[in-house]
Amino acid sequence: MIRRILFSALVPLNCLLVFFLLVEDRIVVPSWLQVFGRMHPLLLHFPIALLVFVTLFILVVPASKLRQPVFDSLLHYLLLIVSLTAVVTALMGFFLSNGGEYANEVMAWHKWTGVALPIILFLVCIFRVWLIANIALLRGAAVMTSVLLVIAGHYGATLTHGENYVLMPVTNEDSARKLPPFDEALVFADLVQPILEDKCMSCHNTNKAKGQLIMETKALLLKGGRGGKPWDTSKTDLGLMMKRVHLPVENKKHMPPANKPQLTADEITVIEGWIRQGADFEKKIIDLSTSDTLYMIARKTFGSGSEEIYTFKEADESDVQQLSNPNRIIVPLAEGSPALRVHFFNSAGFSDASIDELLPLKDNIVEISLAKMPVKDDMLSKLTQFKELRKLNLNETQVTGSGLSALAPLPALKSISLAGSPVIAGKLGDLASFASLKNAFLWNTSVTQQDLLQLEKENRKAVFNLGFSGDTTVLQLTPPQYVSEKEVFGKTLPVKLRHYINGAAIRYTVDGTEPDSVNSRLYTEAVILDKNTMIKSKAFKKGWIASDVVQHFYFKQTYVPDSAVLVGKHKKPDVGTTARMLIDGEKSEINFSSGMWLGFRDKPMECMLYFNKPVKASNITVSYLMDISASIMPPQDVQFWVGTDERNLKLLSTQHPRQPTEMLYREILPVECNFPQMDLQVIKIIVKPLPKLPEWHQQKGGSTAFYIDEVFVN
Amino acid sequence: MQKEINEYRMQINRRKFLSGLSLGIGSVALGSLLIPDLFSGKDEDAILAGLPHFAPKAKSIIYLFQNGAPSQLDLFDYKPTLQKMFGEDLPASVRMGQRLTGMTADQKKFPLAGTMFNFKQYGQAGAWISEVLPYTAGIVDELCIIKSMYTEAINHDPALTFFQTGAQVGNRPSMGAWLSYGLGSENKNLPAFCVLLSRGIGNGQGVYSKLWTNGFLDSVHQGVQFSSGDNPVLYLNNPKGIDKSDRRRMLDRLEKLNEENYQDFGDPEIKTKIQQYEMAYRMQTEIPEVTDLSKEPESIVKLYGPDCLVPGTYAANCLLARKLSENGVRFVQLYHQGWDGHNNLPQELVSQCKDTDQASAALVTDLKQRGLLDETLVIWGGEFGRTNYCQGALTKENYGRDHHPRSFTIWMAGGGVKPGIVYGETDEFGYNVAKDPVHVHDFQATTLHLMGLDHEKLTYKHLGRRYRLTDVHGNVVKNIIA
Repeated sequence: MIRRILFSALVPLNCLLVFFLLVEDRIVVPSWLQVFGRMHPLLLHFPIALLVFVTLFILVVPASKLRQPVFDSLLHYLLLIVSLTAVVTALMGFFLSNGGEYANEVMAWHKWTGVALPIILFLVCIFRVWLIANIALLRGAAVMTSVLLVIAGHYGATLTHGENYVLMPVTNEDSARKLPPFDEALVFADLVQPILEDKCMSCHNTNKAKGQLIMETKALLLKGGRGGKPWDTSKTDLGLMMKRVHLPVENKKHMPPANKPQLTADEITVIEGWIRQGADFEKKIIDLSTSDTLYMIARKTFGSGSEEIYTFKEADESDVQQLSNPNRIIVPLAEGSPALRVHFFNSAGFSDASIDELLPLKDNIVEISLAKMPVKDDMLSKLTQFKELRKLNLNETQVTGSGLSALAPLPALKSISLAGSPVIAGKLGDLASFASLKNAFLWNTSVTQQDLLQLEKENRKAVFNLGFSGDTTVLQLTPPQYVSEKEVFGKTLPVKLRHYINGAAIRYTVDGTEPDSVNSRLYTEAVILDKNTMIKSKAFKKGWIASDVVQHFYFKQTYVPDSAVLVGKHKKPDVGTTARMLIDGEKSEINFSSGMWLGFRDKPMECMLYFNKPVKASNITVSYLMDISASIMPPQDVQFWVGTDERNLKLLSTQHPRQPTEMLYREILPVECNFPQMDLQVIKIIVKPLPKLPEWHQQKGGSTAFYIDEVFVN
Repeated sequence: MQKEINEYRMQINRRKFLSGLSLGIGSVALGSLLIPDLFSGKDEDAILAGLPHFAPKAKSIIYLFQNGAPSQLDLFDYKPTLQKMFGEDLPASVRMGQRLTGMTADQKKFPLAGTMFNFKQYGQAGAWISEVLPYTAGIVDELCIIKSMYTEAINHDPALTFFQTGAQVGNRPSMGAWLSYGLGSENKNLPAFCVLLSRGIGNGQGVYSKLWTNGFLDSVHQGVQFSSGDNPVLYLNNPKGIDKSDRRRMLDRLEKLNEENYQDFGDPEIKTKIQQYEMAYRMQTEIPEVTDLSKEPESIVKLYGPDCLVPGTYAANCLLARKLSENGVRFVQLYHQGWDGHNNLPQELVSQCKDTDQASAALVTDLKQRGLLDETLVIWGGEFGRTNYCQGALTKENYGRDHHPRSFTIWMAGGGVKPGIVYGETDEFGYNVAKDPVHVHDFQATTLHLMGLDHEKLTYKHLGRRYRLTDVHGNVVKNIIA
């Protein structure tokens, strides 16, 4: 019963198939049937699997058994199902193909084999009984249908996946297009054509030739299609092709058609740019202006143009390992690259043989750095055999130039660095004969600007780089630096002055006057101090602007008070703790937050210093900080009172430290009180702050603070 | 009985199952043929370490980190609109509610502060450069100026850590450590990753050793900090009374002890330790030679400026960086502090530029004249930018700027980047990126790419996960590569 139903279904379906085949050109498939058609690739797996199974079944099962009723009816069922799925699949394929999208040779083969298959299967169903009787015929038919199946399947797969899909991983034909070197690449062949191949030629090829346009060769492109030549450089819209590319996608005439992969913005720019510039088939990319968008896109496609592809064979890895050592690094440019580069280090480890030993690798080495090695002219002859050498660094070697002729036969040598070597301009003439030379570096050699012009005339392809000579540059020297063990001393203190620039002369004064280049003392050896001293100094050198004056004060300390207290209204300082800090002998560094300063903001300080026994003194010095940006200013005035006891103090003097008139860098400075030597046991110091910040200060009018760290008695 | 019937009906029992399983194991073995290196004993990560993945553009990097975030609006990103609208409130449509730091979030107004410095265009790309960078302006045709950098962090430490390690929170390996891990050291007598510090008088922000940490990588990849005194590398000199041969004997003996220990415990850090002692021994001769600046010719002193011979200055560090790089140090990291201009920005900026402008430009010129610029990548930049509005009081001569992560400028030179270009744009207020944004991860990916490393392949397995400098982000900015 089921068999009958199946068979009755087969009859109309096969008829329909034949009918469609006959009226193919006139059919319009409605959209709902297109959906059905698109399931062709889904269903086709059933007839394939079943047919293979049936064929094997027929071939393997002995003829006697096939004729038994069980096997016979099984075979019948199978054949009916195969036929049915095959014919439905074929019909679906028909709906899918309708529209002529695939009108080419491959499609034709697929169509005819795909139609023949269900029909032959249908015939086998009809003549099944007769065929079972002639088992050889049955087997022949099974094999034949299978072969047909393979052919149909193969062409179908080609339509979906493209030519040679299965073997591609082995034959590797899909791997990226081989790009020529950047400076040889053509705009059309290497930029435009690949786009046409990808996006246009599936229709505009010899098989399909939609609109009679074929894009496969230059001649065919120029011939154009039904609408004539695809471009016209004289028109503003550049002709038919660009016009249709720029049409909205919904437009029927838009290219590529809406259901096909579209051109990207960059691709449109490339094609358009090529046409705009005259649709020249021979134009090289390198001839485009570097600011041309076409050039920039090309750069992207090519990655870097400087990337070189090395075609020579890889070196023996054991050679590389054996010849590498800490003083001679040999490494491939990258993982898997056959090109090697060599870098020599540590001149002590360099010998005459160091280059010779590299000979086993001569066909692989593309870069050698011999910088700072004791390389002499005659050693360069050893490099003649390194034919692949591109880059040679001879900076700070002993090369004078006479050996350079040995490098002339190197065909690929692009860059040579001779900076800091004793090269002589007259011996560099050989550089003119270097075939590939692009860059030569001659900084810090005796080569002059004039020599350079001569060299450039002799070798026009290369750029000779002289670098920075500084002859005409005049800069200001940095100030001298002060080196001493301490800032506070008991009896004497040696102070050294130093400047890092060779040949800079330091002149200094110890009397508070400004140093100059004539009258002031020239520094030669340590200055020995025996009293409170301000050293001012300045550096001079020919060809330089003299440095700013720099000053530093050194404090002498003869007597140390035994105790100290803060008195008066303001016993509590804003920064620091007790007056003890003023006599502890610990000088602060120049940082206001060092914790060693006693600081008062907007209020005066009164401080008493006591000696247990009277001392013979003639000087009292207070050390203070000036840090203008932190509004720490010199005090407005400092009163020095002395006596032998608290009740009999007399005012010795009131000092007014010099107030700055502009923003200055922070500094530690003294306020001194000098007087005829006298016995004293008690000292009272009153320090008053500047009432407010001066007009020129950023926080003008704001409150000020004074910071002091020590009081010295001499 | 039922069991036997079931067994019969299942057509399977333990024996059949196990003998069937043997075939299964055979099939697994067959399948494993498709896994290369399965039995080679090599670790996948280890194979990658040591050589570039593809031909590199640059062999080494010198990174001039301007710590504290220089003001792009006063140096590179010229915005006349800000000058025209001087003092007017930042339109809400520009800020779009993006977050601010706690330092200005409470400000009632965000007055736009146009730069007080003059700008001019320089070079083939017509790059705008401020008058405070005259030397940089002079080398603009060597520079690739990226105006469209942006980051996610808004405070110094996370932003700096993010730039250096690819994560805002510490403990990941620093960029230099990754490069050391990926490419190794060129000169076996020097560390692959060196760190040099300096500071200007501007408002400073801390730098910490976590920025040059090896993180979870082997400790041999850690950055070696050079100090400015007489001993650039601490603890390198032999103690008093020990000479070179004594040191050698001591190291040989120590190596034997360490080797024994390694046999017992197998801790790879012991091997690292042995290597490091050996390198320190070789460094004893190499370091004094490399760090000696006294033999530099006068033209070099004039090129970098007279400060370059004063140890500890930025200029001296630039010169030292060139010498280290020339001698095969893979990654030299400089930090210059003092760019954090929250207030008094113009004044601080002038002094910061005075400290850095000449030497930064000199480094590029110097590398070029030695023929080394094409293989050395120089990077200049901070951890983020500064706001277009004023922090604190605004006058024509004085203003401050807060942190701004949405857009800022850095430059690169040499090492395979396109010379003489300006990449990316910001909007007319200099607030948001308008064209070609470059994220910090993109910057890192590009930097690794220039060194011949695929940022997606340079990984290290730690705590059960493969880590990258760029985490799971980053795109190589192809358009700036020459």
